[in-house]
Amino acid sequence: MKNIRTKIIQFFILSCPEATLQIEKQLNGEVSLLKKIKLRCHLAACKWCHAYNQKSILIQSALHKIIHKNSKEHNAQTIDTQRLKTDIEKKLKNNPF
Amino acid sequence: MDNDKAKIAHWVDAYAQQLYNRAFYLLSDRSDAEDIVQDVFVAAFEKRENFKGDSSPLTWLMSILHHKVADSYRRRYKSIPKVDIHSFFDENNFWKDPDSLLTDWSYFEKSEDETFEEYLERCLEKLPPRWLILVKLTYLQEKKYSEICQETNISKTNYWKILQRSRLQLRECIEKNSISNEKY
Repeated sequence: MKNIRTKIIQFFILSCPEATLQIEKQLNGEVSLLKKIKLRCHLAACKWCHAYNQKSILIQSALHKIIHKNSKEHNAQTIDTQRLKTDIEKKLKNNPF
Repeated sequence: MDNDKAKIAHWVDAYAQQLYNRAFYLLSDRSDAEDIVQDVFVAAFEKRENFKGDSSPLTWLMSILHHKVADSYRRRYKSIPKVDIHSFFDENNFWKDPDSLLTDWSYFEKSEDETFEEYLERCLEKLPPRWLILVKLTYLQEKKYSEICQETNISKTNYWKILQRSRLQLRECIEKNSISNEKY
């Protein structure tokens, strides 16, 4: 199952745990060019991490959708704005400016 | 000043509910969420000169809210997070469940009872709160991750570990569903 090519890549270039970390950085932040190349090499040789990468991309776009949708539609309960105003007034009095 | 107060009062009427929904979504606690919303308006009043009107008031208030949530996160979680990925990899740093990684997720497209997104939603809620808030902030804010790290006082290394660990868990959680459903 673990072929020799994968083992070589694991050892010299990037291990699978490291590859999953780089995938995370690639999706959400920034990766240096060198790390990008290393990740590419690893993904080309390791079909498991390649599959993980594909699935991560699916998860990524779904997460964007879900979190944006839910953060708008998530109905906690109706807030009492009158009471809220009184509480804000109180807090403002405690913090004179 | 009274004018300013009237403006804030108007903002409370117009935006408090949306802010409260967002705060509750992030914190999962009613009284914490309410507290944060109050603080948002107090801060908005105190920093009212900063609002230039380039963006909508709601956008501005939301950015204050995210900042306040990160603040409360920092106060609540002071210890260094323990993020362990060893349950996913063996002693040779190889995947513990290589076969399930190769399963096809097109199953979800055919499924009638639950979409991929619905399932992911349920998996998401299984993440520990400490990670979940960070994941939610990451996807909600158009900020750079370095700002989130700074505001929550999480080191960049730990931030990436938490995101990495969260995704590993999400993937495994989804996998369990698709495997159990293939049997039928």
